[in-house]
Amino acid sequence: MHTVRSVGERPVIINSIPFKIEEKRVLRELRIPKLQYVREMQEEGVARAIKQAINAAYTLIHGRGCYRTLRLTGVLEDRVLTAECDSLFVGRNMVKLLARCEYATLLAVTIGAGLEQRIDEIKVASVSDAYFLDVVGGWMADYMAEKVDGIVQTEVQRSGYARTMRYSPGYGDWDLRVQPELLRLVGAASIGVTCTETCILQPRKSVTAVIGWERAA
Amino acid sequence: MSRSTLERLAGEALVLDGSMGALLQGRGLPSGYAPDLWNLEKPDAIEAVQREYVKAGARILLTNTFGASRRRLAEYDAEGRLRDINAAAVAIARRAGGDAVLVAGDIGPCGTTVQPFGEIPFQEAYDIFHEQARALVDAGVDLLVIETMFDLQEMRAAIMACNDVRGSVPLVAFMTFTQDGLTDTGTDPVTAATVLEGLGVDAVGANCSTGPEHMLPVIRAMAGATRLPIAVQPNAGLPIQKDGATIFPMSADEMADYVPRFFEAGAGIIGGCCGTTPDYIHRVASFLSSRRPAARSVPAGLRIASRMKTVLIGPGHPFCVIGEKINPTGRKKFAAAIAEGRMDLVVAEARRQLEAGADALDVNVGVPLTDEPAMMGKAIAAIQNVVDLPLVVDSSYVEALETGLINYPGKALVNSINAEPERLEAIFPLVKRYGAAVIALCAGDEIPEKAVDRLRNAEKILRSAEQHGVRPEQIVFDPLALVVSAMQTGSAQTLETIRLIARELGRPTSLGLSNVSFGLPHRPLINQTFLSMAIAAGLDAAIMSPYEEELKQAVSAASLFAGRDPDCRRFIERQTATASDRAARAARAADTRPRTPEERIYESIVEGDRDSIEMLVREALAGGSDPFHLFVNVMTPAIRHLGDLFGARKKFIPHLVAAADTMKRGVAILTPLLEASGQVSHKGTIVMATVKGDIHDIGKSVCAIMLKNFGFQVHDLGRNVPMETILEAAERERADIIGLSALMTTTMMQMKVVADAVRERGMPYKVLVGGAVVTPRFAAEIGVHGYSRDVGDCVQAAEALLEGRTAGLSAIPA
Repeated sequence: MHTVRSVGERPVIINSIPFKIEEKRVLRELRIPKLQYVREMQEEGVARAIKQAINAAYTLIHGRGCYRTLRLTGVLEDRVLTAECDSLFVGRNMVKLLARCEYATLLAVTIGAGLEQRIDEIKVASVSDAYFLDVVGGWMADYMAEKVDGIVQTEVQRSGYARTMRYSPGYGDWDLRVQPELLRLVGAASIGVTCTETCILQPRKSVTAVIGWERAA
Repeated sequence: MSRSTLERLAGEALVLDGSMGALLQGRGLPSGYAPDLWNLEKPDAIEAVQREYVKAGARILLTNTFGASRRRLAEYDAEGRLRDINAAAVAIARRAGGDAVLVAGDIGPCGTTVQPFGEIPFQEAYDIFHEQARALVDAGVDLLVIETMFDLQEMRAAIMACNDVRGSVPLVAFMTFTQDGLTDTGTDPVTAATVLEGLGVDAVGANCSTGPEHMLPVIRAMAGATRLPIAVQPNAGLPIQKDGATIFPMSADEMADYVPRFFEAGAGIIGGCCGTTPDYIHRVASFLSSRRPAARSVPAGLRIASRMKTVLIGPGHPFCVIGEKINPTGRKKFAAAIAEGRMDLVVAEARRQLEAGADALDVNVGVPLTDEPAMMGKAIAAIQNVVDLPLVVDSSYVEALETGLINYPGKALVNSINAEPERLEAIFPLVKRYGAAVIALCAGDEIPEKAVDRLRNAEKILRSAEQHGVRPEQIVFDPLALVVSAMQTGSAQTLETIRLIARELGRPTSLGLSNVSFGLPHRPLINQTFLSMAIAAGLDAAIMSPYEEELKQAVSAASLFAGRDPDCRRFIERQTATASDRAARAARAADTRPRTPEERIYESIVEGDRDSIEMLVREALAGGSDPFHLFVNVMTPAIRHLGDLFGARKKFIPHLVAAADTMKRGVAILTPLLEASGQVSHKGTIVMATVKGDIHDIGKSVCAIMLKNFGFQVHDLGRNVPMETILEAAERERADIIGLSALMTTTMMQMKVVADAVRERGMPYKVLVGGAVVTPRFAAEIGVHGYSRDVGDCVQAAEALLEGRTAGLSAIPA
């Protein structure tokens, strides 16, 4: 039984993703090894600034997401086809990822515009505060993607399929220029995500991706 | 029938049916077609499947109505036939089962997600469920079943809708859990049982999603959290695809092995979900036929819950600290933020209390002349998103309480009710409807002086609760802490009230602590002393500041004597953590050798302590230090030393960033003095920009600061800068280097555009590039002079370019 039917014309929308900012993950994003908590840092000034960024992020992040599952209709040498579009899943990597799949779920997530607005406000006066906030925001966009990924995974498994890895435009040979089409198909405007002419997502701390549904062996 | 149905659920081991979908597909249901439509189109097929289950021993048949709600039927343009489809399903099940079988009206998820987590408003979800539940009850079901819910808020809407139409028809509610034992939205089985029981369901359980192995611990946890009957419907494992069909890997035999274990874990109502067959149901029936579910004991106490966590309040449980700080009283900035509809300070306060060790949070957003119900809704939605603690919805206004309760996907504690008839009539229906718990003040229209009179008020409240269908287990009493400076005997009566309520009523107590010391000096000491005495008298919870260390230590120590800390484990852990913090502070302070201001400037840069650098530089200047000396011989060596530590992987990028920012603040004080004395000598001039089309620039901004600290003249043009603008600036500023940043594969080619123009126009500038997607090889291929990996090597790279060398480029294979 499907609890959420993401196969269809309407995307599933998640308006407010509960979140927790794990200090350990932030430290790893900052390339600081081994430590679990910010308070374990020896440099009090740096620790204070990172902690301040995490606390600020809690008030600035609004995690949202949407996803929609497309039925795949064919595989060509250079692309995978859907009923809705033949120019989305283009390139060797897409063929490799989706060739054995029957469905593909598109997803888009964002942490909203609040955090990057704050970065723009403070970056001249305090570049380190802006930097730490930027790193926290970057990780939290991935975190939101992981959350929606988990929900999609449940639906994939409940339906008797195995999921592929999550793959985003701009990686390998999946051209970033598919962003407008991907955003249109997944209904990303409903969560406030658009892209620039150069295919940069706005808000910047957003993620788009595809997950394929393979037949479980 | 209904009365006996309820008794049967509680007292019998009952067999549910198994999967419908696969058996219908075997009878020709096309893949992707709605099974619910077959209630009208092929009723015989439905009845045949259900007869198989009855024959196998099922004593509860779920109607074929999992997707027979408005939004899901609309996918097949069948929403107009909703009542007919549901009524037909009930009639089919009745025909298949006869009198010996209970017909359960089956309700699945509404087909989308519900706010605050999801898309549609709570009321819209409620309306969807209400319509289907009404149709099923009107058609004569014996009980209702809500199943396969992964979001507690959607489940709440479904239960409330069923409660409003079901009368005495029992309700069973199933959540669905993943292999990690949580729902997709993070709810654990104990919390699910707590919230569902609070809403008044008659049995709880788990179904679908996983096979029996992963469902067993879920059932065990649920059974340990509620005395309600427990139901279970596992899948036959996780499905796989084979020969174009979805199949489930576990056989009836393998599934049946788990039935005794489910029963032993507490499940008395057992069936199957996806992939299970009549053969399996037959084995379930064989096992259950001679058995009765055993009575279970669960820990006593009042339970409150967030979406993800349950807290018990009562004797033997850890003392519950309810953070009091989300309250605008006497806090201008906080009140102003709420009045503007901003929740940032509310969220920050919630996070701060969580980190300070609060077990639950009181939420009061009562600001005069604001829309308190709207603000309460916003606050609850915002807090529950970032804090997993249970919340206490605190307001004098019934509308604000209700908005808070609607928006809260958990079991809230309502603050508060008292013995006044109007308040009882207004609040208890909310507590009942939203499955909440409530703080009951032992006061009427005034606070009784004597403990025995406060007890009378408590008894009156309990009688009213019973009349409203609110169980005593949903109530915690507030024995009323009075200002000790106003009436000293009042506090003694408070302590006596705590004892009386525990002894006479067996109910937990909670106090609002802070006012007890009002008007006296050294309030923390008074609060701490009174709290210890109250815990000794049996107090279970307090609304108090979680920030005061002495208070928390008092709770920790007093809990030892109140039987709330078996093996003294929590106390020891707390003292160990405190000692560890003390030791860390001592270690940091161990080197107490006096330092000169210049040494402290050096250290503040290495340590990234930007808060003290400006004061230290001023101090050094006041002490006679030369500005140029400070810059060249103190600050620059400090940042170079940090660079060396970075190279040795003893410090990392964040340290460089913090140090660069720290040094920048110090240099800002020196710059006017250096300029006035003519001692400014720039290493070189760099024009920096994020290329056209790209809007990322934090990394570039950090590099700009670092380069400035090292004496470069830096002109940062910002982001999304066209090639011509960059070249014009380079000419105007007589640049030595053009530094370019890009973060996207789509924009990095703009670097080549600039580099080509520099080359083709014979311009003298060196081009230095960097950014997340840029590689040494790409830099070499586009013919620039240097590549900088990160802020750690941008200075070295720029210095190399000034010296006529290249930097960081990979050799291009021939």
